[in-house]
Order: sequence, then structure tokens, then C-alpha cells
Amino acid sequence: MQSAYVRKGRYFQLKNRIPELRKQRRISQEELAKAVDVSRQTITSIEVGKYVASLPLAWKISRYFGLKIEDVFIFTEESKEKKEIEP
Amino acid sequence: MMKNYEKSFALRRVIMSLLSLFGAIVLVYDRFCADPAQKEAVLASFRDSMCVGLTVAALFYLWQDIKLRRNPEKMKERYLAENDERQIAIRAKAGMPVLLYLSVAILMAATIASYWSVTVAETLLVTSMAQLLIGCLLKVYYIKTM
Repeated sequence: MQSAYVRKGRYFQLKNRIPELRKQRRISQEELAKAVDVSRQTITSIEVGKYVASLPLAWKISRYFGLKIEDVFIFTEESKEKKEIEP
Repeated sequence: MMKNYEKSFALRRVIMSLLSLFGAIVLVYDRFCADPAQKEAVLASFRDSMCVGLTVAALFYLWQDIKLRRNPEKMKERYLAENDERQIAIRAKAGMPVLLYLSVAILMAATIASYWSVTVAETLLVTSMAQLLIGCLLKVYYIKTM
């Protein structure tokens, strides 16, 4: 549920709350995918953190849930080493 | 957006028509105009089979595209499948569609070169196949990792 990056010694994490929000609203991946005009596989990849959604897609997903982008996608910057961060 | 897609669809139909025409022209030339020596060349059978394959494949895709054009719902489904941003990212990382176009162009060049030089034709053929193989492997890799 998160993607991790290391840029110039800094460690970044991008988490998302899509699975949680889907469960709350009882929406399937297929329904969400149709609503935001992407494939179900794309939603799966975003949820497991394999793929980072583009800004327009992130905006569409957030709008679908009626939330702000930062409420669905949580971007954190940490200066710790990758090893020290929990997976 | 759908209008742009329909335009690209029209372009695709033109490309398919040109490919099938190319295959047909080479086949007709081989049957009726080529020298006996060219007909019996080492790569003559390869040339014929490749042209038949190319023509059949191009006509098949052309027929599918024409069929799809009559069904707006399926057309939209296809549009969404082709314009899925993850798929676009995967294709871009695998070097598609340039790699595919280049490979088909090299394959066509190999077909023409086979009239004069076996070595050149074989080299082009291997290059084209290697390109396609690398593109496919990269695509599979990125589908698994993205």
C-alpha cells in the first residue's frame, strides 16, 4: 500500500488509503476503475504500491471519494535510511 | 478525446491497408514479374510466406477495426484499454510503439533486400526479430513489476 523512493539520500514514502476507502464505501476495484477510466489492474497496482498514479488520476480518484488528494495519497519525506523504515 | 481516438483509428486503418497492399504487391511481383533466378533464391519461400502472413494479419486487424467502428460501446472499451495510463507507461518503458513500427519497417526492408542479397536480408530479419523479442520481454517484465 505504499511506494518508496530514495532521492539524494532522502527517503520518501507514498501511501494511499484507496483499499480502506473502498471497503468503507463497499466499492469494488472494477467499479472504481470504471469511474476513473482506467483498468482494474491499474487500481490493483496503485493499491499495492507497485505503480504511482499520475496527478490527473490521483485527482480523479480523490474526487470520486469526495476527498482532497492529500487525504487519499499520503506523501511523507524522511531522512532515515531505507533499512530503518518499516516495509 | 474520442474524436482524436477515431482519427488515430483511421490512421491505423490506412497503415493496415498499406501493409496488406505491400504484401499483395510483393506476392504478385514474385509470381508474375520476378526473374526465374529470384524465384528460386534461398529466401524466396521466406519472402512469400512473410508476405502472405503480413497481408493476412493486416487484413484481419483491418476487419476487426472496421467491425469495432460500428459498435460505439466496444470502441469506448477499447479506448479505455489502450489509454490506460499504466499500460501507456509500460509500453513507453518497453520502447513501444516505435520499436514495433521500426521492426515492421525492417521486416519490409528485409523482404525487399532478399531479392538481391541473402546476407543483408538475413541480418535485417535477425535485427527485427531481436528488437521484437527484446520489446516483448521488457513489456512482460514491466507488467510484472509495475
